[in-house]
Amino acid sequence: MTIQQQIEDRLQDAFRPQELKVENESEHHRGHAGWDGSGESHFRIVLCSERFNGLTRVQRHRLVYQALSPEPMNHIHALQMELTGTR
Amino acid sequence: MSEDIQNEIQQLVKDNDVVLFMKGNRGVPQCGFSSRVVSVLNYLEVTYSDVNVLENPRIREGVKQFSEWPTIPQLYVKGEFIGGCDIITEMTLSGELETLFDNHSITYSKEASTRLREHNS
Repeated sequence: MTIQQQIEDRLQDAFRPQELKVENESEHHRGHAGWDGSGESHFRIVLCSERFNGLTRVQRHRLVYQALSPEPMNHIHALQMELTGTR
Repeated sequence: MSEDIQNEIQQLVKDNDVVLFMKGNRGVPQCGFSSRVVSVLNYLEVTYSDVNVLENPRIREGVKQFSEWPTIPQLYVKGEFIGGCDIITEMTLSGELETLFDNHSITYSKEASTRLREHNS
């Protein structure tokens, strides 16, 4: 399974999102620090879930990091996130 | 050992109003995400301390435990962990960063902040 699929599966299970978009941006970072040639080092996540309602930004990000740890987090160099609640 | 490093980090964020743990330093950031936070702070003319985690592996791991946050950069204001690159970017554009600085009496350029928001809206 690709890392992208692992991310999607984990987030789907953990957040039952209303919106979920996982984009592989590794190629945009070709040659940058952390770019490892695996083609799966840099991701961008857009996630909207009821579970984020009432939480601070830091709390939301922590929940996502937790959901992805230890795997596939150990294989990801960079994760950009846009996390919103449903209200 | 690891308790020492936690105390050291505690002291750093206590002694300095605004602290950025980053890869590289403000002059030569070594990572695009660190670089972006540096750009925001510089543009807003905020006085801050930068800590290069690449020069100190113990701080690099220690700060992740300290904040329970697995990535660098990390910004602290008056001892409080504010967030990494995504959060700082969102807060800059929404005006929340200004409010945070106002609430903690951190000096910054209001004019630059307004300009930044207008150019990115």
